[in-house]
Amino acid sequence: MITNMLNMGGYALFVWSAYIFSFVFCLFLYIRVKNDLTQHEREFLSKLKFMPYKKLNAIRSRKIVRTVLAKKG
Amino acid sequence: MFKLLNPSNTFSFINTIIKHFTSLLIIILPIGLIYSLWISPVDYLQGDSVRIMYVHVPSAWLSLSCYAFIGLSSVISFLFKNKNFYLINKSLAPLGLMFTIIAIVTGSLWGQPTWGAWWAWDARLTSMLVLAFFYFFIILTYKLIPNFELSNKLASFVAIIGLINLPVIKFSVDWWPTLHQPASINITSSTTIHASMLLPLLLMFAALSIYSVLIFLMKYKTEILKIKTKGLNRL
Repeated sequence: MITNMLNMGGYALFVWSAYIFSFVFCLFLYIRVKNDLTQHEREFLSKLKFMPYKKLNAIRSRKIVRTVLAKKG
Repeated sequence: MFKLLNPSNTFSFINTIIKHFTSLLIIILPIGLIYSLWISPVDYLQGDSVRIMYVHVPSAWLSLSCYAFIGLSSVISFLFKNKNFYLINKSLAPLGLMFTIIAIVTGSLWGQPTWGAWWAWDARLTSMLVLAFFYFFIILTYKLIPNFELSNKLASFVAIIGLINLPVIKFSVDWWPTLHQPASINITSSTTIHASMLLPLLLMFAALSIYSVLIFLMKYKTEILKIKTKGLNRL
């Protein structure tokens, strides 16, 4: 029964290729975008980390700074 | 209204939306896959090869939707000089290109057992290839031109020109004799697809739409962070 399901009535090569190609491509884009986001979040945090205390205090109330700082604890 | 869409206002909501949409995707995608790969009936003419439709059609719809959004936001950004729309365009373009490529490749994999050909230079297939080129040019413009203003203006200009291609894709099967079948799902007239096939199609469309929103939000957030990091450098 499982072999029949996988065989797709003789169209297995076409059906599975289409699904595998689509999902590998989707996964590739997801990983790339996620890594890119993590890298830029890190870069933003490191800039804040090495910022003089006075300047950091001045921008601490900004929404984006608050969100990034809150996310990273 | 544009103030509400300001990156500073939307940034804090993005994390929450990403979390909820990820949970939704984890629920809907397996259901869609089970329906489309096993539960949905076999077509009397095409056999199991019809199952390719459940990734091919939603991908094609999403590639056209992304382009329509890019085109529309390019027009708005030209009219109102709002930089936020440029960020939206930049975030949507890779997603649109990916769905266009998926639609072309899965269409080719469906075409071989159905038409006996991987590719034909007919109106629908060629206009989809042209759409992929438009996406490619938009992404290339952002990558190759370092000047923010210039790259945005050029990309928006290319996007607006490419809008002409959208009705060509949609009506190509009606205007010219093509190998590609006419639309089975119509908003204005009756749908010719059976409910047992329509359900998995809509489930897969929902899953891929949620995935698109996720990718768009992550990319949009990255673009905002890039700008804000540059801003910190200037402090």
